[in-house]
Amino acid sequence: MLHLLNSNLLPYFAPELLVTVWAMVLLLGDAFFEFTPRQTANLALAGLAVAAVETLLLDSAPIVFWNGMCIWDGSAKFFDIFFLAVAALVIWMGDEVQAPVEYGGEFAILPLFTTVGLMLLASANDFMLLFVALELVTISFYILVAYRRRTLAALEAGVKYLILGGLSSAFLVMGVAYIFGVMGTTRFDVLVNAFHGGVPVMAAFGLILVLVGIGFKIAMVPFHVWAPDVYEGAPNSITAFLSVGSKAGGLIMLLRIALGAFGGDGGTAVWYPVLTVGAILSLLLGNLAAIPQRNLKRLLGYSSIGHSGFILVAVIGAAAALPHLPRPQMADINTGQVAVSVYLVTYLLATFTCFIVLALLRTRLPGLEIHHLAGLSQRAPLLAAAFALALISLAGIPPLSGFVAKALVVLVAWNRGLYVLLALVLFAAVAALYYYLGPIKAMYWSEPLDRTPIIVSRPATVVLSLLIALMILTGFWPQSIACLISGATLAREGAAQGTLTAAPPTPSPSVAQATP
Amino acid sequence: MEITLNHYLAVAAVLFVIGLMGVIMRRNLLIIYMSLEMMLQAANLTFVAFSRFDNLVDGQVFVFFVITVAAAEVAVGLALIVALYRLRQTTSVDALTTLKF
Repeated sequence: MLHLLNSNLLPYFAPELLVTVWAMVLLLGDAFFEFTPRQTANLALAGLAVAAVETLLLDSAPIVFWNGMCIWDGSAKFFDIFFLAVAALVIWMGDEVQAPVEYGGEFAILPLFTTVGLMLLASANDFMLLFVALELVTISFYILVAYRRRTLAALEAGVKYLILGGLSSAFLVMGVAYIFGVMGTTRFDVLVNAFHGGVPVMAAFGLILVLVGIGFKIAMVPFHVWAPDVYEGAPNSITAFLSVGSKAGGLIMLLRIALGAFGGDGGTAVWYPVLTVGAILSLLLGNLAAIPQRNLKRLLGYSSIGHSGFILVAVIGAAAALPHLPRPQMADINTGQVAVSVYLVTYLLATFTCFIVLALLRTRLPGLEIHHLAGLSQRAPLLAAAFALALISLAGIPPLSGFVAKALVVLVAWNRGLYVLLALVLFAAVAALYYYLGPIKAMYWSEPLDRTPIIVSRPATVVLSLLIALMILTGFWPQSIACLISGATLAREGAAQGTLTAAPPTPSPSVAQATP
Repeated sequence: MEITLNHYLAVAAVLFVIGLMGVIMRRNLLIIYMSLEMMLQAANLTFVAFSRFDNLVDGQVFVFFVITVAAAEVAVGLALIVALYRLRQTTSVDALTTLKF
């Protein structure tokens, strides 16, 4: 342990260590010094800010360290910052927007542990670390989802998440066991070079089981059944956390496994059909099942399933080589990865805006069905505008940021010749328009039953305005996202050129050159 | 008869499928939770069998992680089920009907 701490690689691990230690200190502080929930939340936010600065200072040159357990590259850096931002918004929401009396100090501390798990997922280079990090995320989510444990809906959501989360872990571990058994390793950078002439049947079966496990995490159809129920039952900030953080966590796992460990031709031939079917079903079911929904949280739950479908198309488009399709240019592969990152950023902005508004409205409206929003524009112009803009961004209407993301996905599908997926993406985007416009219609073109204005606190106003500004800014000026995510690529090409410090023992042809 | 790797793998696969069937078909949350654990043990058995027959210790290390994590998961999971029992006086999944389409 000592030599690990002394090593010059420590900076790459410092953000995770910092957040972990800070979370434990806060737990103890909460127990012994009787902090108020507000103080705890502010301290947690301060810790996240320090970790974010630390992460930003690191360069993104690819490096594999600690016996191949961890990897650091542009993607890891991007996702670390992403998760820290998500956690900050979640903790702020839990403290400021939702009544702090209802929640204790742990409600601000537990998301720190989840964040550590998510950050470790982003830099996992071994199934062992991936599994432990994933469970850290999942177990802390069980508690957060069922946090209002005197409410039946929250407990029900918690139990459903518990059973399906456990099921997904079991599938994942079983899959890893088969991959380990056949290939003799659990390291991603060794696995990618281990397949010469196709993936053995048992390892392919293992990979499919792993994909099932990941499918649960990103709510890919047919492994989505938990999503609407859990979204409805969980506190609003946690629903947003699940919808953005947990989905991004699943996606970085998917990128590392599908494009990294199984990024060769043999591996791609296994996961390509699985993910294609998943993407098609998610696009169709997510967007069509959202149409009859009346409860806003369920509606956003189904729409989140649909968004998984869009992102999956980008992931498929980032593959090195797809079976039966022409070998792509390097630029096309990068566009696929950029599309994933851009989509996640725009999704973060829009989703958090939605859930902050819903959390603000929860105690002020009789319910969160679409018809309860009637005439909201007259009662709370800011909330109505924020919610409307967020929905427009999610629907992908120009000029908001969601359009940039959808356009990139379409571009990726077109460039790679994925015409079936392209057609479905367009169809799903049109179907989505219908249910996103429903709440907007209610807010702006219906008369309110109750005309009392809804007062929004100053911090909430500031944060909502900031999110709106970012949505518009990134929509009009997409380069601003581009500079944010520049270099957010996986280290897979770097690995092949041997630029990594701990390169695998056998040199191998690069992913892009691996044609027979 | 000599016991080979395939025997262990077959037992593990059967365990896994029994666990999966339990999760799908049983109505009692505790039994479902037991079935989940059975699925994890099936994975552990696979790991140990591969580890033993391939002479790689990594699989056994993985098993320790799985056991530890499963213990943490059970602690949280049982707490949730107990909380649900206190509210509803039952642990049947048929009682989970608040959140419906």
